[in-house]
Amino acid sequence: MSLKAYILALAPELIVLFGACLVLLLGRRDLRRQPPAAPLAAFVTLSVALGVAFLTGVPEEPRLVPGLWLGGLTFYIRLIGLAVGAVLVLVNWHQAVEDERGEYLSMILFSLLGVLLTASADDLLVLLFALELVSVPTYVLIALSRSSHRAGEAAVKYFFLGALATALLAYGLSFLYGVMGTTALHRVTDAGVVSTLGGGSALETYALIGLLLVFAGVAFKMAAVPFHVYAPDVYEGAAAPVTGLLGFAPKAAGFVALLRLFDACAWDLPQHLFWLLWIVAAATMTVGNVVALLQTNVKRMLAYSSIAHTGYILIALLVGPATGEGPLRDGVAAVLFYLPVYGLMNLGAFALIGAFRIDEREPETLDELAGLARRAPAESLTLGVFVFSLMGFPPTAGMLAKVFVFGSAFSAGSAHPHRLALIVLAVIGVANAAIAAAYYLRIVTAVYMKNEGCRCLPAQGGPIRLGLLACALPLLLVFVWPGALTHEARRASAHVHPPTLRLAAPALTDPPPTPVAITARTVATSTAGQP
Amino acid sequence: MVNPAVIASLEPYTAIGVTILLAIAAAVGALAVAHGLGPKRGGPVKDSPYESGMPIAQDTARRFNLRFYLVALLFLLFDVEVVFLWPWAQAYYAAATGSAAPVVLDGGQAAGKGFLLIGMGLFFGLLVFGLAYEWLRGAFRWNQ
Amino acid sequence: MLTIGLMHYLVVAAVLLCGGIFVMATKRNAIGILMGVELVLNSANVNLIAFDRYLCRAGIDGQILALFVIVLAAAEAAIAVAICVNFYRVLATIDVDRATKLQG
Repeated sequence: MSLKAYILALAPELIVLFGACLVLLLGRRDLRRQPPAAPLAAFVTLSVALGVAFLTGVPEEPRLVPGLWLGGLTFYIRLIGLAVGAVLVLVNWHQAVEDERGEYLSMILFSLLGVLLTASADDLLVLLFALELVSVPTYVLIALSRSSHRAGEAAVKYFFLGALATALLAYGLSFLYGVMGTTALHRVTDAGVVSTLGGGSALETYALIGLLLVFAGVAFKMAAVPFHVYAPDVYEGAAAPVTGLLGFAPKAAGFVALLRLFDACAWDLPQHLFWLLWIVAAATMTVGNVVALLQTNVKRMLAYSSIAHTGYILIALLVGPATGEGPLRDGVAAVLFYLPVYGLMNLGAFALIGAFRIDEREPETLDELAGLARRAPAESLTLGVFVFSLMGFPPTAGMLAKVFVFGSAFSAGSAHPHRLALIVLAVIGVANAAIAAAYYLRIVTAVYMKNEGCRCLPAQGGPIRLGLLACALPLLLVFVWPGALTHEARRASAHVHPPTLRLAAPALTDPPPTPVAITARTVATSTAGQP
Repeated sequence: MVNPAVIASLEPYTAIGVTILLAIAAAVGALAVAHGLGPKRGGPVKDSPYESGMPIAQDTARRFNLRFYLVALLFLLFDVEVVFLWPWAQAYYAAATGSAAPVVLDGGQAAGKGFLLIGMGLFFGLLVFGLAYEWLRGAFRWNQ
Repeated sequence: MLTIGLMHYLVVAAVLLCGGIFVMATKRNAIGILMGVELVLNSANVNLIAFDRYLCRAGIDGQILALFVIVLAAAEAAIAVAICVNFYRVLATIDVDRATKLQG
């Protein structure tokens, strides 16, 4: 493959990279300029990258480039990542001090770049670094988002826990490398390493340790129980527009990373891991929703709701790729559908908080938002859309997302080894969704039913209002015409086959082994006798 | 009960274990003897770090100027990035001389010199960009 | 005669990991916590090199990954110090009174 083809394959990512560098420089000159160049450049970069990604299209069959896997998943994540990213830039247009706006916006772009790269990682190294590229800019973003000591504290807290998670991830990946004998994920699938591991061998233990630690590291990024404790504090400390990013980029990257890894395992998870994930999913939903009931601070409430949504998505992840015919049976497509929908509704809810000010700060408690509908009817209407979407009520895309997730669990084919467990999990999920309505409705009642005069004043700038609209409209449109998004999600998931389907599909264009390549299995048998 | 096999596998460590125990015993013993036999006298002079040496000028826990950290960090970052040059140089050498195992790209063809040069050029360009940015931002100015 | 094998390295790495997590849990000083993180990352490096040497003789994937992890650690250190400095700056300018109260 020539250099030109290499660059073409990565064109959207390269555009985002160079755009981020440009924004970094433009920020220095923004003080004298009207309109501000940095946010505009960031927005244009993302739009151009989105256009290029769209033109590049999705390949018929996954293609392999050294270190990268370009398939339907790559294409889909590019589309949703860049689209949600453009809305993020709108929402963050006026955030941060003017002098630091270039740094601030370029960090958003770098974080999005990490999400895009995660989706095409075919190498443990690329996977680790892509996940890190998602997280590191978010630490900086939190610190830069506002000059309050709470933001500084949140950044310190998030950083140290995040650094521990990354370190655990690296440690876990080292075990996976040991088991697989290579860092290239596709070679693992081809060799069928995980499924062929014998019971009780040292390698099987290593694989389990590796997968557990990797999951722990990723669970932190997704804010899954028991690695969720940071979420409420960090979400509260950071400015609301950044919190919108925290609910999308790390979560999406985490789920995509798990998709890539499980795909490498040919969706043949070890029993222990399945049950662990099952417990984590159930606990994440329940803890998130129950604790959210007790909150009066809207940002903390939404943080717990964010935890709960991680639990819902985990259900669909456990279902895995299509196990039979039927529109609802594809868990992977349900995950992929949920990610952008959740990203937009969460971002919208936080953007609304960021669009108002009380005494020079964001309104945070339910009391401070009470009666907002009288003061700002248009914005309050969008809040209604976001809250109903988070709740899973029509006429919003949030409802469809929940239907797909629970539906995929209920209709898991009899071929699925854990059919009953998945149905139980989905029942827990439905019960949780019912509990969740209680606290979401408190937000709506506070905004619409209370008659107290709201002291909220509109914050600076039109872009954030445009951002609110850009969050709310797609949620309604996707409900009316879900076809486009579901089609893309299914196409992306079609490249993530279970092993049986993979055999039927034409074989991947695997590069011939390098002079030194041997499969992990031969390594395992030849060196198993060593200490 | 501990598995006898585990105990057997620990056998080579006997010497190390004994050495560690002896070292601990010697250290604790010396302290205990000094504590038991030595006279006990206190006072500011007795408590000072160098009882019969230099008078202490200042505390060791001084505050450093923050800029030292900044410079140290920038040094650390650019210093560590250079580590990538080593494997790259190996690969380039292999490509240029045709010796050793070349880096194989998709499709089985070996990476050419041009590919490696442009790749490293991109990486280096980003590094230089970072340096230029630090410069513009005034990170190297000592008196701000 | 004792031959050093894979397991020995794995145990060393595990000890490093536990030490790192212990340091992170007990230190109150931000730089101390950072040292804990570095310990954990380096335990991953020991693992990588050991696996590369004993199980995965095929390539040098593990060594390259270890190099990258070193760089990752450096980048994290840079971010850590920047975030801590920012934290103290903000605290010093906005909330001096409370900060001194808390210290006293």
